[in-house]
Formats: sequence, C-alpha cells, structure tokens
Amino acid sequence: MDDSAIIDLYWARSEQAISETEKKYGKLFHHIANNVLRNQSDAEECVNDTYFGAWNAIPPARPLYLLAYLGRITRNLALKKYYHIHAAKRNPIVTVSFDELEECLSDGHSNDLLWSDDQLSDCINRFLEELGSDSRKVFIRRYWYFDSVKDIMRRYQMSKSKVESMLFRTRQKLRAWIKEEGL
Amino acid sequence: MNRDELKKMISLIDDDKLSEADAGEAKQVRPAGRTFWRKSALIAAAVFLVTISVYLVWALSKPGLWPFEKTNPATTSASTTETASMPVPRWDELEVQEQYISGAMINGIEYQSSVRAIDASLIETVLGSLQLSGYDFYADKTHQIEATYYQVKNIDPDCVVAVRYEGYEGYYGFFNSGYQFKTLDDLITRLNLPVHMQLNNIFIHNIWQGETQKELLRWDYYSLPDQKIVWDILLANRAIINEGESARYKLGWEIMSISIDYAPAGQSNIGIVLFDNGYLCTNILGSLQSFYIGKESVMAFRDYVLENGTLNKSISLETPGETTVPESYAGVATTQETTKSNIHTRNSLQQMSN
Repeated sequence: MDDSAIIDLYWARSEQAISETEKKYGKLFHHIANNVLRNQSDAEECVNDTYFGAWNAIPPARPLYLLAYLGRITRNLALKKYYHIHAAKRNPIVTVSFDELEECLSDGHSNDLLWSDDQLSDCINRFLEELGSDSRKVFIRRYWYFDSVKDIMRRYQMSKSKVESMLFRTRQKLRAWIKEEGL
Repeated sequence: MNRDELKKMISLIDDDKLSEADAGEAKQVRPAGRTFWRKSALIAAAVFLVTISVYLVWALSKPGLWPFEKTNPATTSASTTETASMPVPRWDELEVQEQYISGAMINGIEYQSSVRAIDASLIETVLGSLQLSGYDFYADKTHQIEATYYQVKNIDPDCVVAVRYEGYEGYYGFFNSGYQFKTLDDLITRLNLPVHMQLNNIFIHNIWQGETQKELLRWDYYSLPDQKIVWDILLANRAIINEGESARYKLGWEIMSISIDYAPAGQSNIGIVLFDNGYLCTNILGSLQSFYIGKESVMAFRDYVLENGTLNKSISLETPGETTVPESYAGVATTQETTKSNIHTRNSLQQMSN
C-alpha cells in the first residue's frame, strides 16, 4: 500500500494503519532496532513502541516520508533503550560506528553543546548533498542505520575494500567540511 | 563540535536521504527461475541416486535387514535445503548487465546502469571506452569488464549514453541522475522526449474528500483516446524553470498521475504527477524534476481526462474490518480524542522524531 494511503488510515483512526505499516516496514524497523540492540525481544519491543508512537503522532503529523519518519522513531527508541539497558555492554556495531565517526572531530573539541539542531542539521544535510549518490547511501547505511560493512557490501554489491575506502574518504571529507563550516 | 553533537548531527539527516539509502535493496531470493529449479532438481536427483546406490550396496551385502532403519534421510534434506536457501544469485546465474551494476564514471559524471536493452537502431557514434566493475558476493571478488559507450540518437550524452559490454551483444542505457535540467524545454530537448517518452495511457485520478483532512477515498484509472493532450496542456509552456528537488516540500496534494516509460534510460512505469497547487513533477532519470505549470493547467488537464477518458477501474481503500493490531494496542483511542497519556507520548515522540 502506498504511504499516503497508510497515513490516511492513521488519520481515519483505522487500526488497519498499524497492520499495513507492519506489513510494509516492519522488517526494516526490526532491522534498525536489532542493529542497535542485538537482542530480538528488545528489538521487538522497540518496533511495537514505534507503532504505538505512530498511532499517537499521526495525526496531527502527516509525514512526507513515512519510512524515514517512523524509522527515525525506531532508531531513537533503540538508542535510548541501548544506553539505558546496555550501558555496561558495548554493542560493537554501534560503538565502532560512533568511534569511526569521531575521526571527523577536530582535536581539542569542547564538551559544551554549542550548536543548535538547525545548525547541525544544515551542516550534515548540505554535506550529504555534495556527495555522490553511492557515497551518501553507504555513509547513511553505516552511521544512521548502523549496518555492518558486510551488510553494506551485500546491499550494494560492493567489495569490502570499496566500502571501507568509501567510508574512510567520506569521513575525511566530513572532517574537512565541519572545520570549514566553523563547527 | 563534540561527540554528542556529532551523534546528534547524524540523527538529523533529512528524511529524503534516509529513504534514498533504503531504496537500493540488496538482491533478495532469486525468483523461482528455470535455471535455479533445474539446478536444485539435479542436485536433489543426484543426492537421491547416491542414497539409493548406497542403500542397494548395503542391502545386497546385508540381506534380511530393513534398510530404512539404517538410512539417514537428513542427508538428503540437508543437501537440498542448503541449496534452496541461497539468498543471492550466483555470479554465473546473472546476465552481464546484472553483473556489472556499480555504474560508471564518465568524464567525471557518475552514471547509473540499467538492465533493459536499448534498440540498436538508436545507437550512433562511439564516444569512448571504459571499465566497469561488478561484485561477486560468494567469491568476495570484484570483476572488471571492458565496455564501449555510445551516443544515443538525439539524446544529450551528458544525460544518457548507451553501453555495450565487450564480448556481448546489446546496448544498455546508463543515465546521469544528477543532471540539472534548467527548464522544461531543456528536459524535453536533451532527452528527446517527443520521440522516447512513451505514454502508457494510464491516468490515475486521486479522489480526495473534504477540504481540511482530505482523506483519500479511491484511485480511478482512466485511458484517453488521444494522448496528445498531455503535450498540449501539460508540456506546452516549455520555458518553465525546473525547481528540481528544492520544490519537494512545496508540492501540494497529488491529484493525478500518468504512467510513462523512458526506454533509453531503461525506465518503465515511472510517472508524471500533477499536484493541486499547480506543480508537475516527474522522476525521469531517477531524480525529481519539478515545474510549476499553474493550477489552471493542472485542473484543465484533470477535467479533460474526466470528461473524455474511459474509466477502466477504481481501487478504494478497504473499509477496515478485522484488525490484526496486536493486543498491546487494545485500549488505544480509536477516535480523535486524545488522552493525557497520549499527549505525553505524542510530545515525546515528536521530540524523538526531530
């Protein structure tokens, strides 16, 4: 079913909206949650919370991209849960991906939160728009969806070295971009 | 910027980019093709013959015993199951145009590959040669192939070229999804749409109800006796500026979509979409091309289709009947009323979704 039709079901307060969402995106939401949590039951709970959240948020929301809107909720719920439950146990996928990203920070950065959401959003989105389509997708799969390098190789039929070098180059570019933007 | 801000920044990636990154799915289980089943059947037959042979040898050497007590059926099923659950087709099961799908870099422009062949009569001069790569997932090996690229008749090679893989017949369209068309005329001329854009005679009218909520009720599928009207009403004013991606958030309610093919780029059943606030968009070459043609033109076209078209089918949203909502949702308000706890949940979710 088309996204706009699913959203209309939410607006009509039809519970079919949940089952249609689950049918269309359930697997992806589970993939996102499981990438973070590495635990089937925690991931399941997270996905259920996503549906519950969708039910409560739409209306009044009418998201343009249902997948991204709900995927974002799943990701944030999963990260919250991860930090809450697994603080002592490091999920290698999440921590490695964040550790990799830290290369993008310049030395001697402050611990104070200086930048607004708008500034951060503007910075990353303009940066991604400058990238080629492949590099952008690989970057997002790795650091937003928390896909492993192997998952990305399989998804885009790329070699390991290609994925890794693409990620490395993109991180270098992001580091330079952040510096140039004065962030 | 510090670590927390960096993480926050990643969480703020735009929705359209997240959707784009999810669009290119990994190859799933290969549809049950003849080659696949033939191989499975051969393997199953081979395993069966081996099992029978072993059994016969064994039975003849040990007369008087029941052989089935000794055979291990798991051997057979394990072998066939392993073969049947291969998630990605083998390299040699793919056609050449399916093997080398990483696209191409030509004169600094990134082209995307397609798997539909272009009519050989459209191929003109050789523009150059290049090397393409493809990845064999099972062998973890990147393959290379030489290829030649050609100009397609009356199509700007900065937008689309034809590629022929060395040692293989046939030409395949490679297209530049990042090309920025300046105007509608630019799009029409560079892609030679009068010749290559095929209208599939499917005009889908979206029926909305209400002024504020506009619940979608149904889609009506029309065909027209003469599709020239598309050119006369929708594509007549060619000087209109292409607003491209920047118009995405300005688009209104979709009221009609038209199914089209653009064969040189291997695209079929893509669309021209009309919005109630006067925008016309298309996803030719895989990116959003947006033109403000005006409400009057959009409505005039819609009215023409409704008056002159033949209604072929209607698809409605089914009235919700049985629900498959998990029990955990029982008790969730089924009206527009909002409880206190729902307000709390909604607010926190809206925060989370930011």
